[in-house]
Amino acid sequence: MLFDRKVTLLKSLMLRLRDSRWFAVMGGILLLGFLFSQLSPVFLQLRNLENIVVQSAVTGVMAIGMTFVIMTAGIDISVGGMLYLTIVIITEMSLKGLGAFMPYLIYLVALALGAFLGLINGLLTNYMRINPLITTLATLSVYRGLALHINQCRHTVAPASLRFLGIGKIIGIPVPFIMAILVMLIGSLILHYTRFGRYGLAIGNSKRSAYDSGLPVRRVLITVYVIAGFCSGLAGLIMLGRVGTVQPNMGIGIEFTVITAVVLGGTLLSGGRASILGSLLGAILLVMIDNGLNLIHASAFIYDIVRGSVLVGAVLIDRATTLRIFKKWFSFSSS
Amino acid sequence: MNNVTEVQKNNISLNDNQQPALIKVTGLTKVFSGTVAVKDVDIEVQSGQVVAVVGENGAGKTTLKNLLCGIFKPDQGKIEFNGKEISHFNAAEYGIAAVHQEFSLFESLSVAENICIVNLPQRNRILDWQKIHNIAQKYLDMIGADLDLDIPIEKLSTGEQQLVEIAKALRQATKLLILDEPTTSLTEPERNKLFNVIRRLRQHGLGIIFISHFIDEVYEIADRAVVLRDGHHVGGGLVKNLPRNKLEELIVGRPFEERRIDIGTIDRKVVLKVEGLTLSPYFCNISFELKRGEILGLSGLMGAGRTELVEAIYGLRPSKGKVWFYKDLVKNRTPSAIRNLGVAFVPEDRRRNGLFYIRSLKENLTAAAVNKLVRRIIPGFGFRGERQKAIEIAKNFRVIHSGIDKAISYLSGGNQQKALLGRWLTIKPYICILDEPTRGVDIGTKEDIHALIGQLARSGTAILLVSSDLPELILLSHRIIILRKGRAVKEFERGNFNPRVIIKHAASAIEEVKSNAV
Repeated sequence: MLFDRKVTLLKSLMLRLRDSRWFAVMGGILLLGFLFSQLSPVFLQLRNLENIVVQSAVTGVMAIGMTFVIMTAGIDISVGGMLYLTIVIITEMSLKGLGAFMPYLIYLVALALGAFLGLINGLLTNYMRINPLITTLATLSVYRGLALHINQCRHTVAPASLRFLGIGKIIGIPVPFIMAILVMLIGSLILHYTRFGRYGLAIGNSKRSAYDSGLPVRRVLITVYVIAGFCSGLAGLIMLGRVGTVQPNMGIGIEFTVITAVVLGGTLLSGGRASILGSLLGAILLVMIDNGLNLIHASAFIYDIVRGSVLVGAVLIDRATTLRIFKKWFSFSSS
Repeated sequence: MNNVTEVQKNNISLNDNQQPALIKVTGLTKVFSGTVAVKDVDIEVQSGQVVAVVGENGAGKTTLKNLLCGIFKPDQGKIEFNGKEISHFNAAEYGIAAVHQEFSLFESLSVAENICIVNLPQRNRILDWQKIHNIAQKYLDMIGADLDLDIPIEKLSTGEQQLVEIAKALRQATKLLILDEPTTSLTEPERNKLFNVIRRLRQHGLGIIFISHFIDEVYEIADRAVVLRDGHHVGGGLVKNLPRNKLEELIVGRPFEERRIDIGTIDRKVVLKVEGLTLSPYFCNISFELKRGEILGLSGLMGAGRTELVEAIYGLRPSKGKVWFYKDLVKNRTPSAIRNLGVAFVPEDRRRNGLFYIRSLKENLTAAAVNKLVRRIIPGFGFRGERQKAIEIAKNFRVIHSGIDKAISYLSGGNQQKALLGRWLTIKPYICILDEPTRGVDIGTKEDIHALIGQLARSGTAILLVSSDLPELILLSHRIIILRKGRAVKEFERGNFNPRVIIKHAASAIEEVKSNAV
């Protein structure tokens, strides 16, 4: 009996591994890492690696939030807007002295604000029945416009109390990295071990079936946008902490990077399959490409070309070979 | 969770007519944008009773199911559950669940997750995977299905998915289980298994509504029957007081007779030759020849590899072995290349693989013929005569529709199937591969389709017919090849068809198969 149980657990683990596309992303990271380390002596230095990890925390956290949206076959273009609006509002608030008497309160405000902005997205898509792409495209514009209006394009400097999440260290480990890992763990837990996670995947598979089965479709669909907003708020805190000032170009075009990271990580755009770890690794891979190209003094115009090619290449390699090889390795399960 | 024991407690004896009805429906009416779907239907189901709802496709059976599950709200009439009138209800709260004809499964989730998806078992808000596995196993055991719990649904065949669907519904159905055409994708032994499950559930005091268009099944399993025709409740009653011909007449609306179909004679010319075709683990070393005008039936249980075999021939799956079309060895088979050779393929799952579901009936009908038959005003731009062509096909294949430009999803299952056949058969294929052409189709439509197949064979088309419906194969085939676990085990010529023998060969014990394999 006990033995049987062990065998089933082992088998389900194997099956999960077989379907995990983060394997491919990990391979990509190692391969590119090797390549860059050959091209630049600086690449493997601890400071540079730390840099990569810290830089990827912002996109990584956002990508994890986005994973929940995409697994339900939705999309959230407005993450960059939510990030920027959060940054602007908390900076203004703390400069007005609100954060002074209780610095950590401002963190909670940022997270709540992000979640609230996400909630607006969720309510609009689910109650007004607007296509998520259109909804979030519109709210992206609104959020960013609102932020620019409040900020008036000033280069506001954030108070030192807000910088801990960006540049702080706990026992020598950069805080952004810790945050990213924490979000990844919680995200994976939610995805694999809660009803919400399973229902989200189910809805991504087939919305009609989910309705027929009486699942709380609307509630789940709203919650995923709240999560995306929450993660954007958190990412905003990290970004503000790292940069230290509010700049008008913050978060412009970040939705492309975030969605790319999610897709790289193995989450299906059509919904129904998701990998939290994959999304984080995807973000790391993308940052690594930027970092490596920077180190080898590549032309600034080449970045986007490489990023796009990597996306196509990763998806292709993943589909063609890994699946076949893994099928051979674990063929017992399909017989 | 533990519904069977719960029901056992208030176990109600079978033939007690004094019992109040579990669910009582009176004067139920539903109209969709002017079209009457269901009108004045009365049904009464008691605990421990199987009530069959029979009727042709488009008779309103599925609408009725949706009304009873609370998916649709009735326009008129009332539903009483245990003597209390209910409207606007959540079926699960009352212990009502349905096995839908269109599956409500989630493809990338595992079997276990699918069975338990509604209120997934959790402890302290964390999913209890052990419990999920146990529950799933319990319901699979209950229906006698042997499936791997961790396999995602997309890797299962249609028949296996059906079993999961039933297990899923069983978990919800503590009082009333509605089965919408549950046997259409099952093979004979699976169907018998399902009927045993139904009998067991009946003894436990579950009320069961069994929607079907198979008259045999009504007599096999049901206590009462309700016949629908064009949305109207035309008759019914206790099954034992209802003679068969009367029931058939009620369903079709006219006297019903035994049929024979002229399938013509076989030409000598070989149009398709398959040698050593192998695709593990689905089928292995399959060889046969198909002649002009011949109907070759492929019989076998679910999972025997029939669908995979015809898909491999059509180039939908990669496989090893040789396939000749009209004496030419075709090496790289792709669906478009094979289609250009004059081969038509009508797949098993029409909704997923066959139809353009949100496009109009017109486009669906002319999809195969659009290049050949339609004249263009300016070469390369626009289609002229597409509409006439579509109307003509719809007429020839008796597709009943309320407008050629409406999306095909509005048609009933039988009409969708006829449309799909119409699309392929108008291009006058040399070879036609039909995979379960009458699955989920009512008697009238089935007759139409059988006649069409016969007519097609007489005109010289070679037909490869896959069907789980043995009487259909016997009626239509010149020859039947039986597949078992991916191997061709036996072949019968017309005249030697014996249903019992065929079933025996298709379903022989596993040990025998093993010894054959060695």
